[in-house]
Amino acid sequence: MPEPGSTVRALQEQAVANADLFLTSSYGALRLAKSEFVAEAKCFRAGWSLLIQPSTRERELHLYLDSSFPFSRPAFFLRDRPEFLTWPHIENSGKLCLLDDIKITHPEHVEEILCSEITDAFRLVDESESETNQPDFQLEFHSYWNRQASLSKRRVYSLLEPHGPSRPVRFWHGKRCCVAGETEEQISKWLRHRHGKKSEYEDTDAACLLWLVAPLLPRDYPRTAADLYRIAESADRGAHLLRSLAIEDRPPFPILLGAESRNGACLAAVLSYRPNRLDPRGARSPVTRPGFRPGKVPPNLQAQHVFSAAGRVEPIEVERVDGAWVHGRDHDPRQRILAQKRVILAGCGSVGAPIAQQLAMAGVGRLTLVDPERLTWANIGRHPLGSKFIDQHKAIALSECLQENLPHLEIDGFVGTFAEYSASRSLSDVDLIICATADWNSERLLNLDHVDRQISCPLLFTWTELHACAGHALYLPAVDHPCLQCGLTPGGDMKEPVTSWPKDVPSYLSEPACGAHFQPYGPIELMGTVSVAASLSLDALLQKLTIATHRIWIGPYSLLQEAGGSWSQKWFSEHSDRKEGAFQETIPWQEDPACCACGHIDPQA
Amino acid sequence: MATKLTFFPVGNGDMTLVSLGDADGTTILIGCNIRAAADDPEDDTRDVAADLRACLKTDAQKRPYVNVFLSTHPDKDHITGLKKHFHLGTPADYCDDKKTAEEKRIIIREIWSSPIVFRRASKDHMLCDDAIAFNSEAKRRVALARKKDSSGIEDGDRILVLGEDEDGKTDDLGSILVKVDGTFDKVNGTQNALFAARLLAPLPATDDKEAEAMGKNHSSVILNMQLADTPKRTTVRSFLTSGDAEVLIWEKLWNKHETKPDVLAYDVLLCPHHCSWHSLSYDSRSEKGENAKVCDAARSALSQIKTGGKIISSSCPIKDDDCDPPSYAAKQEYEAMAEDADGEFLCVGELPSEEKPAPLEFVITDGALSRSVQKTASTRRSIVTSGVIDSINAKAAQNEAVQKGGNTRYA
Repeated sequence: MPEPGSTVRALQEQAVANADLFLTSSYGALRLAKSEFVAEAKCFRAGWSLLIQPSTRERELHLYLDSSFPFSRPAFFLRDRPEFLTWPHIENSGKLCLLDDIKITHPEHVEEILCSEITDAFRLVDESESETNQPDFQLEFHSYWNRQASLSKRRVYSLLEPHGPSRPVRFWHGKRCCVAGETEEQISKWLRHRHGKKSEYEDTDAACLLWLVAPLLPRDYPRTAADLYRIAESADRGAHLLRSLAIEDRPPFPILLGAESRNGACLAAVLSYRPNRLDPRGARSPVTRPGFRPGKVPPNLQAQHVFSAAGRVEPIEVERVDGAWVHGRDHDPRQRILAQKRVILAGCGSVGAPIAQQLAMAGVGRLTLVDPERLTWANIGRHPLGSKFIDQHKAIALSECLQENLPHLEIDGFVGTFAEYSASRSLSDVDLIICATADWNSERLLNLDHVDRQISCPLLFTWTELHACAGHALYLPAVDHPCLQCGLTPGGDMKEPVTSWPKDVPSYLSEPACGAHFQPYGPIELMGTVSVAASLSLDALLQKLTIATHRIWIGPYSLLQEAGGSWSQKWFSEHSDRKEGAFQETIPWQEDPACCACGHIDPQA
Repeated sequence: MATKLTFFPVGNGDMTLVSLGDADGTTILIGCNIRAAADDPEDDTRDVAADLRACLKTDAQKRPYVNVFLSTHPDKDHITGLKKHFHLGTPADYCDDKKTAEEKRIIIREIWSSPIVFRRASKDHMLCDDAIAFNSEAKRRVALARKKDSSGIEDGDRILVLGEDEDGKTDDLGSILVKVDGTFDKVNGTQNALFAARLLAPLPATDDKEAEAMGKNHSSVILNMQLADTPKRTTVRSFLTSGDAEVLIWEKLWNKHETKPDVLAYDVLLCPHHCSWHSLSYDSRSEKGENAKVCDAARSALSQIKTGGKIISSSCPIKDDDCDPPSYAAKQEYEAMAEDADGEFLCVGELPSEEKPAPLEFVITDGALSRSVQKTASTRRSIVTSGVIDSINAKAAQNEAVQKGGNTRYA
């Protein structure tokens, strides 16, 4: 930390002065005039030139400090270096990309910072000269493939499952982007979800994915179609796949290249163009091999013709948009399960809508949103949808919005109550029904259907107490008891609520309009309830729950106090050591043998 | 590239390189005093030729060149080493292509010369061998210019004559003549956005008596250069160079420009005549001692320093003795001028040390004129090897200032 009384600016100025002294005296560095390096980056305030010799050859290394130093790291530029993509971690400008794993703990110790950084820069050049870091090209494949000078301005969005074997896939060519997928349907669905329905999205081309033993090194990047063919020959069935493509009459041929690296799967793409040479008379070379009619060339000969050294290739950047990548960058083992799940969420209000949003972002594969109401201005203060969607049905607007944001998922909306939905749709493949309607009648109906086995999937109810000072999520497995009613009074009140309110505090407020009731909480107070409901839903979908489970958000006591409430007597007696609130608790949902919905003891008796 | 001024340590003499920050790295060399000792590898005298060559570019034929060589006047301490280190004659006669880079003579693309080249050598106008060679070369170029239209003259043949000859020998020079008080912004025949200059002298003597009083040094070229950092001219600094101009010249200049002293204003002044007392006073210090008076008008002319300006003495170290130049008394006057402007007086022969003086370099950039470390060929840079890295790492403390593994607080 700076000495008491000194300013950050003084520390920074002193740091540059100390750096100058240290670099010139210890490393024989020469201070550079700003005009000598300002063209490279205007952000640097000082620069030095060092002569380094890791092995046999001297090289000039420039070290620059920006205006934040010593609260930022020095930048290094290697002046004399081989062609770009010969050495890893060196950008086209010569800038060294040192590992971003440094934490500067004592910025005033400039010499130690520089010493550490120069050592790293020196070692990088040393390893590059000895080629011991060539495998880094494979570990960081995308960074280098995507920096090729000949890279296409378009990019490919990939829905492919990133693993072998080599196989035929489909490819959609757009003006600005392309999409690769396992099937035509997968591609067109993704495009429709993202950009709306258009007929051109239905038309895809044959392509292939070549699954290689390892990611390519830059020196092996294909420069011609013949290079590509050689690469294909190294992959199992690769040459066969290219030969199949060659008989297609729709060049350029899209070829996806994939391989596993220690950092995960790598994907790249190449468009292979048919040879297009002019003969001495100026005529273009034929589409098919000379001597054959179009479509009649033996695949082997056609492949030789198409994938010859005269065939141009255009490398393309691939960006993965499949679920496994979007939800956890391939490192979330839950995705395979969640992608297969189907959830119906009834109630797209201030609690249900953010739950839907959370579950979609978590990767739940299919979501159906059910709500009869339209969005109003009074809703948008605590709803994910905003003014753009005013007067639209919440279920439709929210489903379209989420669908556009996450086009690999399947999200639809239904305008109406859950009862109306279930009357007209099959629920046989549903994994979970979430009820966030905040309406006792619809909750009760759903509960009774569940008790009566009319609905055979698990249920999850969620609701808040007054002012959202506490929130609840209740998971009920696909058995008939306990049920929601077990913990509620016949009127739908909690038998054992967390909070208690004076009688003069109304349970809801009303707008100056008929039937427009609401609770006056904001989106921040709601987050606890949304969190318990979404997390319990996830646990249910991942089959972590075997019994009826009640997860409770207990809001901060300050919020309760401001709203005029207090902890209920029973709750406080059991949680007197946690009276400040602001925590979650997960407990079993107790069966009531005398439950008026599922009980086996006659309550009258 | 940055616009730089480099003053080479050549003892009592001048050798100053102006390197413009343009794309071509245009260079203007003012004087040359490469003494035999400087060329002797066994001698400790600074190898200024190597220093100079390190600052120069080479052309397509790998020949080193300066865009301009300015000879303020043909004194030995301003021209020594010319024949040895510079190619004189037509470019076609260049015959060093097979020599090493250190041995190749430097091409002078354009000469800027005082009109004194038209005067015959005499008892009062003795010329050293280098000066005679320069005169011949200048005359060759002038003759060529007289024959050809200036646009048809190539690199290595160009010349500008700075000031008119008193006997009318420059009357027919046309575009290669710059008259006193004229300004020009062409360097080697090409307009340069980073450069402009006003010619202040040589001033003609008004009568024979004055001519006798002025002596040879009255022919010194005085140029006030405007040097910009970039073509956008964000930062422009004035550099006043004046050869060996003495007190009468400065007095005349002040009398002439007293009402518009801006023409004499400078950010950097190369002290006339290596910090000689006789640029400031008519009195002899050896005769009058402390009673020797400074000429107020001359002092005024030399006092037009801008805030933060530099006054440079290209001389041997300045001692408090009777030596002149450099004169200790003159140094005190210049120091007083610099102090009044929050500036600085510097002696090239004393920096960084009297024992081992090195080129003194200023960079014009970022709204400032700042001293910088001079990159030289003669001072071999140390090489950072793995041994050096290990050694410095070993000396460093526990390296607590940096922790590997990154910051774990952020996901």
